[in-house]
Amino acid sequence: MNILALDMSTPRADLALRCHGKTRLQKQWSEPRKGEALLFETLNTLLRESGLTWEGVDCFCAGRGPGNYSGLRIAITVMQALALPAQQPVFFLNSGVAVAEAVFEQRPCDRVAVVGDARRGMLWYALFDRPQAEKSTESPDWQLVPWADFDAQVPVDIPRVSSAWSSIRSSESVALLDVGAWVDADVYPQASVLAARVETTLGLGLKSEPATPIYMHPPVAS
Amino acid sequence: MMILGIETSCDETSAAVVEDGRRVLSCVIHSQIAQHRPYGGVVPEIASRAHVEVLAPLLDETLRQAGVAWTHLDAVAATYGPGLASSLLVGFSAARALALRLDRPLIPVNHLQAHLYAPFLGEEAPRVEDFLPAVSLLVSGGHTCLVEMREVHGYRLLGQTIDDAAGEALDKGASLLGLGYPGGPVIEKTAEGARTDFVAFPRGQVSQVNGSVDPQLCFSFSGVKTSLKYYVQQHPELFEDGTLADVTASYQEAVLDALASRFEKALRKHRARFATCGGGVVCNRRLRGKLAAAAQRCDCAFHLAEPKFCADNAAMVAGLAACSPAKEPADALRLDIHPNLPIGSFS
Repeated sequence: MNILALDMSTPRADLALRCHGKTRLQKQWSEPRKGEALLFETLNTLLRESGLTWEGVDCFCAGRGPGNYSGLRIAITVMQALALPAQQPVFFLNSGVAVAEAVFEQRPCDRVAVVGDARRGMLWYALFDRPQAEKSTESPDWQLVPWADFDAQVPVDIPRVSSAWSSIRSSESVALLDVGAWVDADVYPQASVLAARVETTLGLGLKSEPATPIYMHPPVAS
Repeated sequence: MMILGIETSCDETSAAVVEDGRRVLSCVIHSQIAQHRPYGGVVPEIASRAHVEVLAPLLDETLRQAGVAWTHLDAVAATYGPGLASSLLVGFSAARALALRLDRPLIPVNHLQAHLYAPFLGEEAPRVEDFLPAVSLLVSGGHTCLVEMREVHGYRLLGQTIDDAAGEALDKGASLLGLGYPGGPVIEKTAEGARTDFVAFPRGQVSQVNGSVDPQLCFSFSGVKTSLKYYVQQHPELFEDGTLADVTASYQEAVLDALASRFEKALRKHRARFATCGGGVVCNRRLRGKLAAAAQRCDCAFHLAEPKFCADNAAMVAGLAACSPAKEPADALRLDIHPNLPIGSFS
């Protein structure tokens, strides 16, 4: 099975092609502005390098965040459009899966909190359990929490990880957090992890998450 | 030439397949009016979210209705400006992906110019090349201007609004009168059969403007809007004494008269032989009549867009694209949206 996955939930976009159970090609780039200028060139290059045709892609996958709204919209829309002409399947997964996976690979913990800066004095987070073999985890329950309440809601023995750690650490509000519990690096979601998870999930006969970005704020401020 | 058009510049998600710039094989429009109604206007974040949700199935439905296979498309066109950035991004990203996927040219389309092309959609419509040079009125919720259309892509701005667009003035008027959203249709309905001379609202003359446009061909709707606001404050009884329809009709007449009078002035000043109009406000039947009468007085051949092609739609995008320079797939990869794109500009 050939899976093309894209995540644009953070300033570092990630595109990966997984073929027959292995990551065959992966490209990462940082977009200075809206996130789409380099996407199409990278898509074109990746496909050319792989020797595959578009018809040869069995499944497209897009990360649905949470994260940068424009990036999420582009990733979802582009993967859907690429799949449309041949009615190929498109799978959507929250991007937090890939961030949590990076921690599980490095640490022997069974649970991790994936966190982001939700602006307006809030953090967003979800707790992820280490995935069990032959079992796909449920889609997590994303929460919004004021910075000051975060440590009370997330036990400090659970490692916290974020793709925006540099920004969180440099904020004045960082004094409200127990920084010792955090992974001290920006950890970005990798499309190769999303592709691998799609393969597992499809193998278990499970369905995609909804084809919409995960928005952590309502469209109109109340 | 078979072109797929995509339009997501504001609050309508639309896709269309048009053959040879005239024959509309399908045009599917998903309106978000119900989602924006509680706010009395378009909320950009709601619009963008809705585009993401509906675009893919809508594209599929468009091809199905057209009875066309994806491989039969010769090009993909999409609005790249002007419009709401977060909305443009959705449709233009989809168009770029489809152009890449199908290995077809991508044609970026100026939304304003697409409205001006709308009168030439349909097999019964005149051919655009036989209807030039024309004086054209573009009047919508976001734009109001008069242009001289010398060729399909040769425009000269003759006049424009210096404040609100006409559609915006109707929306705000409807809000002041408690009629709801969107303003144009509800004002037209309320005003039906009512007195248009009940209140003498101003017609918004413009005496001075910056730039090269003619002040006599410019519009101003802030005065009529303020005038209505004061009238409502001074006559709160209008909501109960049966005069609401007359006040509404008078307000609508002021807006429509301003449009029709500048239109006629432009036809005379530029000795126009041909005249056209496009944009959502042109759905208004009273305005259509006024514009037709003005053109007749000027002995000018006149053609209006069909009502279904007046509001934002992708048929006008695909239609104009047939007369537009295409970007080869490799160049298309680098194209970007242009939220403040002026009329007459190309990428």
